[in-house]
Amino acid sequence: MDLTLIGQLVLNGLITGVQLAVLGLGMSLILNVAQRFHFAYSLTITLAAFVAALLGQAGVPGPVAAIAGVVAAAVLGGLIELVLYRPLARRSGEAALLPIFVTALGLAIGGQSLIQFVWAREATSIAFELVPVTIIALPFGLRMTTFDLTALIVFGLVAAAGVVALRYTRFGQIVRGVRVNPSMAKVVGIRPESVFVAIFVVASAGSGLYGVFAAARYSATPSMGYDPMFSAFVIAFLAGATAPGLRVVIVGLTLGIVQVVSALVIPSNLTNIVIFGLLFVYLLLKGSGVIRLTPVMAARS
Amino acid sequence: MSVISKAGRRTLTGFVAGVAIFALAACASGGDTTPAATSTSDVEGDVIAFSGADTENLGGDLTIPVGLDVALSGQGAYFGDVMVKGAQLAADQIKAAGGPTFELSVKDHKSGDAQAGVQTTREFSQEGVHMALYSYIAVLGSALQPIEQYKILSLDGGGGTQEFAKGMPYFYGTRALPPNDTFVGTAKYIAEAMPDIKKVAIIIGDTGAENTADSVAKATDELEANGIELVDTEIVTYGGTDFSSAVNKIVATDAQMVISVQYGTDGGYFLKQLRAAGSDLPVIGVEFIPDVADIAGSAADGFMFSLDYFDATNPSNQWAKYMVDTAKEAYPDLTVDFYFANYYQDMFKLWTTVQRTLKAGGDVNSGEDLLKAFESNLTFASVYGGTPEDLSGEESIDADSHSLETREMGVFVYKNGEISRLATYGIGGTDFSLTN
Amino acid sequence: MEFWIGYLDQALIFAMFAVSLNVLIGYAGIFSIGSAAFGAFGGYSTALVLLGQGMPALPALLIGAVIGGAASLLISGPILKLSAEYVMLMTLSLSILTVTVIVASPQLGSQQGLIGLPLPNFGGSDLLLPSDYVPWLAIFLAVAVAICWIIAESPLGRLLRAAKDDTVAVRSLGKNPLGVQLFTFGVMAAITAFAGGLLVLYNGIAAPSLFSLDQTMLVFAMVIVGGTASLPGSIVGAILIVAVSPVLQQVLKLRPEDSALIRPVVFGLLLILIMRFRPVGLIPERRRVLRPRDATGKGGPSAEEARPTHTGDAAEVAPRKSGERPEPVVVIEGIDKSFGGVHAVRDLSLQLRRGEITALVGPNGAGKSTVFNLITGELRPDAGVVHLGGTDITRWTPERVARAGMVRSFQDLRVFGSLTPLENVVMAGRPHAGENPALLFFAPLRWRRQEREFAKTAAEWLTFVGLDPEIRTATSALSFAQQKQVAFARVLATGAEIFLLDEPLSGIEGSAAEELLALIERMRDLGHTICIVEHSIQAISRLADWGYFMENGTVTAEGRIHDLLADTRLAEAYFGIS
Repeated sequence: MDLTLIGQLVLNGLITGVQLAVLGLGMSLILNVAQRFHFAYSLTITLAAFVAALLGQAGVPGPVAAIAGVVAAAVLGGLIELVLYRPLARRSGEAALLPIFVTALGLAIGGQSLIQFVWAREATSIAFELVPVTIIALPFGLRMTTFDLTALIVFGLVAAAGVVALRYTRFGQIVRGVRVNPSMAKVVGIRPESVFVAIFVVASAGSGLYGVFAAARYSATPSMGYDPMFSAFVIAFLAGATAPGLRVVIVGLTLGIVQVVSALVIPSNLTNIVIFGLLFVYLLLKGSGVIRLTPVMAARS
Repeated sequence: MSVISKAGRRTLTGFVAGVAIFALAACASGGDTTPAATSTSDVEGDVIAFSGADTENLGGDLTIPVGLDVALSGQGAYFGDVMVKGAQLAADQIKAAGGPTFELSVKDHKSGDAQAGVQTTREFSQEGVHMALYSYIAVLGSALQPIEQYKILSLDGGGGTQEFAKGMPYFYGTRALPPNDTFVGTAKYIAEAMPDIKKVAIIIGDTGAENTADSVAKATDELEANGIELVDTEIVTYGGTDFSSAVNKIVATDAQMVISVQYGTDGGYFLKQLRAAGSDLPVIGVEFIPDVADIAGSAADGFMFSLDYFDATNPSNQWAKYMVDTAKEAYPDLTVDFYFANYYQDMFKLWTTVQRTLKAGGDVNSGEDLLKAFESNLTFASVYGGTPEDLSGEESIDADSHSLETREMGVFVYKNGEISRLATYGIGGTDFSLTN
Repeated sequence: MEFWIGYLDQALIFAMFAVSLNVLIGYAGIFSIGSAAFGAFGGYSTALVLLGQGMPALPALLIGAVIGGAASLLISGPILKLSAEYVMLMTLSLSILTVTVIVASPQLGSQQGLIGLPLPNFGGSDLLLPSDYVPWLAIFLAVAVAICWIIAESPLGRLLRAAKDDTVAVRSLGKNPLGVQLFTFGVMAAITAFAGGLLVLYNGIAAPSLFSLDQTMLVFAMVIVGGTASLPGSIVGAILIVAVSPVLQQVLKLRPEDSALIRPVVFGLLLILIMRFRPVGLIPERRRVLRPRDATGKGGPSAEEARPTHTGDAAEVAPRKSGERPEPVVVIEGIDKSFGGVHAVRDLSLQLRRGEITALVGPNGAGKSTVFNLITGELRPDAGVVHLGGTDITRWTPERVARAGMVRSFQDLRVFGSLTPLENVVMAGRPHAGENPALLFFAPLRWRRQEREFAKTAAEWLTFVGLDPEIRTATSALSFAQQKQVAFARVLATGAEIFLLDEPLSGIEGSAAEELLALIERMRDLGHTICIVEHSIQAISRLADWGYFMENGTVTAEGRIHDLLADTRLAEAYFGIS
C-alpha cells in the first residue's frame, strides 16, 4: 500500500480530529457537567460561520471576521442557557431532560431556517477566506496548506489549553466539583448555575471556532452544523461521563483519523454507516451489559 | 421540510436541477446583430412559424390548466424559479399567437420530496390537470404512479427519464440523460483534444448503488472505446462537502485527468480541495452552476463540463435567438439557461399536442386523447440544433424509452467568469466536432 | 375542499405515528427518537411484500407491523436498561443508520426507493383519490388509538407510569415492570410500522425521504405540541403540524419558497414556547383517575371501621410479656459488602423474630440502609447468607423477595409521584390480571373485578393510615407527611408478613409523628414482623423490642432496647458522631 498516501490521510485525519476534539470537549462539558442534551450545538456552529462569512464578504479581514463569529457563538450559547434552559431546569429538576431536548430541537430547527431565510435565500452557500491558502511541502512527500497549518495550531492550542485548564486550574477544579456534586459545590460557595453559563459560553465559543474554520474550508451553509454536532455527541458519549479532558481529546483525534483513513478501505460515502453503526453497536453492547455502563448525564444521581 | 441535513435527505438536486449558465454580463452586448432578429411586434407569426403550429387548430378559445411541479423550496429552489419563468414566457407567447390560455398551476415538490411529489400530483388531478411539466424525474419516481393513474401527460425537461423512469406510461423525458449521455462526448473530446491523456480517474456522487455502478460502467466503456483507461473510481457522498480523502487517493494514482460526476455545489468543494492538495489535474464535469465558481474561487478556472448545455451567447437557430431576446425583455435579470429553454419549448410541445388533438376531433380534457395525439409523432421543433439560418431545430423522443433520441450537446470550459464552447456532439456521440 | 383532504389523509397517518410514540414517551418513559426507523421497517417490508408476493394490502401491512414489532424487540433489551439520554442517542442513531443503509442498498431502491407499487385495495375497491383513503385511514387510526388507550388507561398503563416514576419502588412491591415495558415497546413499534406501511401505500412509493430524521422530529413535535400522555393531544398535534404548510400557503398566501422556510421557524418557536409556557401541551393529559367508589363497596369505610381484611400471612400475635423470645423469621449470617475501596458492611449477622419490632440503630454512615438493600435483593452481598423462613434468599431479586412476604419502605419514600394516593396503594395489589398483557385484552371482566377489589382494599388502607382515599391530586403535590402516609399504606397493602421500615419518622413532627408511631404499633399488633431503622431515640425506645447497634458496617452490640440505650459507650458513639 502507498505509504505516502497513508501518511497523508493520517495527517489529514489529525487535522480533522483536533477540530473535532475541541468540539467534543465543549459537548462533553455541556452533557456531563451542565447536564443539557444540547441538540442546538449545531446552531452556534452555523451562526459563527455565517457571521464570519458575511463580514468577510463585506470586506472585514478574515481573522477579525472569524473572531466576531466566535464571539457571536459564545453570546448565543450563553443566552440559550440563561434564557431558555435554566428556567426549565429550575422548574423540572431532574425531569428536565425532555423539556430541554425539545427546546434545543426547536432552536436547531427554527434557527437553521431563520438563518437561511435571513442570510441565505438566494445563494445557499457563502464562501469565506480566513487566510490566504498556499501549499506547504513537508518531508516524505507529505503536504498541507497554510490553512491546515493554521487550523492545526489554533485548535491544537485550544485543545491543550482546555485539557490543562480542566486538570490544573481553579476553573477546572470548580467544574469537576460541580460535576460530581452540585449541591456540595453550593455549600462551598460555588453557584452551579453560574458555572453552567460559563460552560455554555466557553463550549459555544469552541463550536464557533469550528464553524468559522468549516466556513473557510468549505463554505457557510445553513445545514452545516448537523454533522459536526453528531460527531460531538459521539465523542462525548464514547469518552464517558467522568472523562477528563485528555480522554475526550484522544477520542476526538481517533474519530477524526478513523473517519479520514477509513476512506482507504470503504467508499467515503459509507463512512456514516461505519460511525453510526459503531455507535449503535456500542450502545447495544452497553445496554446488554456486555460493556459496563457508566451513565453519562446520570453520573451523579 | 428543510430541517436536518443527514443521510436520506440528500436529494438529487443537481442530478436534475443542476445546470445554469454563469451570469455573463458581457453577453448582452452581443444581441441584435443577426439580420433575422425578430422584434416583438410580430410575435404571433413568429412562434407559429418557429414551432410549426397548425393554424387551423390553434385552440384560441380554450382555457387549459397545465401543472408545473418544480422545486420552489429546498436546495433546488433557484432552478424551480427559472423553470416557471420559462414556462410562463411560453404560455404568454402562445396566448398572444392565438393559442389557448394555458393556466399554470405551479406546485412545490420541495426539491425531490417523495411525499410532496405524490401530494402535488393528486392536487393536479383534483384541479382537472391533464398535462404537466415535471422536474426531478417525476420527483424521483414518486409521481410516476399517480401520473399514470390520473392520466396526466407529463414531460420532464429537468432530469429526463433516467433509467428508472424509462418507458413509463404518460411520462416523457425531454433532456439528455445526465450523466450517461455525456460520457461519449467527454471521451471523444479527451481523445481528440488531449491525446496525451491515457489514464483518468472518476469521482462520482452516490445517487444509489445501482445508478453509480451503471454510470461507472458506461463511462468505462466510452473511455475504453477511445483508448483511455479508467484507473481509479471514487464514490463519494452526494451533497457532501469533504472530499479530501478521495482527492488524496486520486492524487496518489497515475491518473492524468479527473471526470467529476458531481452535482450542485459538490463539484466546487472538490475542485477547491483538489487544488489545495497541490494537484493541477484537468477536471471535466457533468454540469456547472454559478455556486461552483463562488465556492471554488480561482480553483474553478479551467473547469470543463460536458452536457446538453444551452448556449445563450450563440443561439443555434432563429427560434433560440428569439427566445433569448424575449426572455431578456421579460426578465432583465435572468440568466437564460437550459432549464429555461427546456421548460419554454416543452410548453410548445404541449401546444402542438393540443393542436393535434383538436385536429383528430379529440377532447383536450381527456388524458387519453392528449397522450394519443402526443405519441402520434414524437418529433418536435426545438430551440436546440439547426443553423442560424433555420427557423428552428428539431428533436425527437424514442417511443420505447420515452427518452430523447436527439439533442445537441457540448463540451464547455469556464475561465475568468466566462464560458466558452470546446466541442459539440449529439446523443450517442453523433456529429462530434471540436470548436475552433 | 378536495385540496384539504390530501392533508387530512396525511394527518390521519401521522396521528398514528404520534399516538404510538406518545405511549412510549408519556407512559412508558422511553424517550424514543426512532419513529422513522420503525416506520421504515414496516414501510419497506410492506412494499417488498406487495411487490414480491402480490399480496392484498392489509396482510402486507400486517406483515410489516409484525416485522417492525419484532425488530423493536431485538433492541428493546438495551433500550429498557439504558438511561434516558442513552436511549435518545441510540434511537437517534438507529434512525440515521436505517436511512443510510436503505440509501446504500440497491435491493431497497437506494435513493429513489421502491416504485411501481400496486394501488392499495381495501374492501374490494382500489383507493385512487385522497377521499377514498379517508374512511380506511380513520378506521385504522381508531383501532390504533383503541389499542393505545387500552394499554395506557389500564392497570398495565398504571404499572408503566409507576415504573417511569420509580422502578425500584415497583420492584419493591413484588412486580417486575420489564415484561409490560417490552410488550408496550413491541406493540407501539408495530403500530408505528403499520403507519409506515400506510405512508408507503398512500404515497405509492417506499422512499428514504418518507422516513428521514426530519419525519422523526416531526412526529416528536406532534407529541410534544399535543401534550405528552395525552392521546387526543397527539391527534390534534398531528393535524396541527400537518396543517402548517397548507395554511401558510393557502390561507396566508405565502409563496411556497417562503413558506418552506417559515414553516420550520414556526415549528421551532412553537416547541420552545410550549416548553416554556405550557409544558403540558395544548391538550393536557386528562386521565380517568381511580376513585374509591370504583371499589366494590359503596364509599370508603370510616376511620373507626377501618379494619383491613387483607392482612396477608401474618401469624398469630405472639405473647408479648413473656421472657421467651419468639422464633426468628429472617436470619442474616455474616454478610459483607464493599463498594470500590469502601467496606460498607462487614461480617454482619442479625435476626428478626416473629411479631417483634427490631431496631437497627447507630451513627450516620454505619451502613444501616445498606443492610436493607442487602436483605431485599437490591444489592447482592459479597459474602454471607440471608434466610427467610428457612429459605436462602441471598441471590433473589427484589421483586421475588417482596413476593415472598418481605417488603420495605424507603427513607426517601419513593412514592409514585404522578399517581394519586389511591393509585399508589392499588399498585400493591398482586397479582393483577390487568397488568398481564394477555388477560388485559382477553379477560376484561376478570381484571375489572380485580381492580374493584384492589381499589376497595387500597381505600381501606388509606383510611387506616388516616388519609382521605378521595384525594385526587398527584401524590407529588401532597405534603411530605401525607406522602409518608401514602408510602405506609402502600407497604401495608402488600399484605406482607415482614416490613422493613427505613427512617419512618424522618421529616415529620408533632402529632403526625405520634400518629405514625401509633400506626407502627398497630401493625405489630396485627402480627407483622418489623425491622426499623430510625434516628429518633424516643421513637425507638417506645417501639422496639430488640435492638442492634451498628458501627462501621457491623453489629457491635445487641440486646433489649432499653439495655442498649442505657449503655454509655454506645450513647457516646451514637451522639458523638451524629
